[in-house]
Amino acid sequence: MTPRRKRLLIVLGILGGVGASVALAVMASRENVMFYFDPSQIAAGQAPHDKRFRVGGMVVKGSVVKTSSQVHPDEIDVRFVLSDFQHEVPVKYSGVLPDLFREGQGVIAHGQLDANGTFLADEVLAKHDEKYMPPEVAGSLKKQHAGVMSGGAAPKSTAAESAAAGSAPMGAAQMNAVPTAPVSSNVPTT
Amino acid sequence: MNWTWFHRLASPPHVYRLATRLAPWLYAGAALGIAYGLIAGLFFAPPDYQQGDAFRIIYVHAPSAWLSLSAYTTMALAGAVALVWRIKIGYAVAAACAPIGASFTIGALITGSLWGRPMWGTYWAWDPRLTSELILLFLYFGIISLRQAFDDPARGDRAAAVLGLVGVVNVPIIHYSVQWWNSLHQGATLAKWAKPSMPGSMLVPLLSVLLGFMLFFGAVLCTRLRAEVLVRERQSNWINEMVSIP
Amino acid sequence: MSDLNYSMGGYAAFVWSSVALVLGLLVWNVWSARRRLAQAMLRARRAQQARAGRS
Repeated sequence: MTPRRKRLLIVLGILGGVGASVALAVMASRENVMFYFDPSQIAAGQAPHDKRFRVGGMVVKGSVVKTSSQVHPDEIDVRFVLSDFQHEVPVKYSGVLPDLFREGQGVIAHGQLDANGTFLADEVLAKHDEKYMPPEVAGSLKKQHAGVMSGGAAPKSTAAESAAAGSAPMGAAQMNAVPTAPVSSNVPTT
Repeated sequence: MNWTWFHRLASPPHVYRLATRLAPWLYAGAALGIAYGLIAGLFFAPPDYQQGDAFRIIYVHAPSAWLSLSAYTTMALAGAVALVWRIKIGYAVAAACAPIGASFTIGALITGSLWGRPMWGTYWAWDPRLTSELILLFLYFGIISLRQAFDDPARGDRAAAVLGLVGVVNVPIIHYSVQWWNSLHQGATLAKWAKPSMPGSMLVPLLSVLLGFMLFFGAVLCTRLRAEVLVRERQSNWINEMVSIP
Repeated sequence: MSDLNYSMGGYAAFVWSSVALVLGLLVWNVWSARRRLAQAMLRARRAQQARAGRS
């Protein structure tokens, strides 16, 4: 064996060894290192009971109720329902919402479940997908799909499609499946 | 197998001349691509239907993140070539890549957090994508300081190359983190075998900036590589002759 | 050209600071690379002159 060949094997050995151990760690952590849990996982009792965790899902249309906070006048109390199209979790939050928070938007709430199964959140983050398009295009897409979009459970097929395409794991695929956000008219066009 | 051609190609004087000749073209291409892409993307591309004008941060964020990963891959590859074939110019390339990559890793992290604050609602989350990109920054810092930690530069080069090689597993982790784990960060807009999830009016400026950044990386790499070669080969005759010409 | 979208729909602070940061990085990279090259060149030239003086 030439020294060069030996060095090549050492380098490949380092790469293979580190790669294999990291691959094993990644596989093991896919169950444990969840940035957020789906409502289905909570329904199945997989979410921690005595610890804070994150729940991610789609804000169910028509479920958002905002009332001005009694404690802080500039904040609002919000109640909404998060869904992954199979199970739902009611969420209570007071504070400032991100600009992307809308009905039909994927959001991630951080907090704890109370005894009644309501998720008490102290932080709400909005998720967005990797699709970008001008408002006019989104508007015409929305009109075309108007029939589909109005039904609450209808986006399932699209979610299944993008899950099949391997674009994202469980919740993420469903959360990002369809551009359901209303096109606000005040978005400036250049 | 006969490797003499390869060694001649990778000889310091040859690489030095090549870098000197290539750099102006790379700088010019980079300036064109970045200037066109940024102006078109920031002013003339339509706003996003959800994020409005905040989405325009993509035109500086995505190219920085891309550069941070390609600089690392180049650095690890150059280090591996140097380790296996004892081609010293590989260590010079690796040493030249590190500060460029580290600076754009910082850029990707900060622009990402400036994008995350208005859209997600937070500057930072311990999300798999964000965390693995932060690890990339620490890897860069570790490699840069490891190279300087040895009194014998040759040993510093070897140690840095080994650490770079070990850390290269982080590159696919960063890339696939958004698919492997539940993540706050969205998936890839540009995937190799998929249609981009963006119309042409938004895509063309982005591709232009991306190309510009790649050329920019090549250009700065040329300049830094020349400096590295000058320092590393300062005893050699060809440098002696080159600098004696007024 | 005066009606260019500088206000970025209310996100000006975030968009423009990101752009400024990355432009700053581009400039820093060119500046620091050229400075290193100039220093290396100067040192090589000095070493050559010292050697030429000795011989």
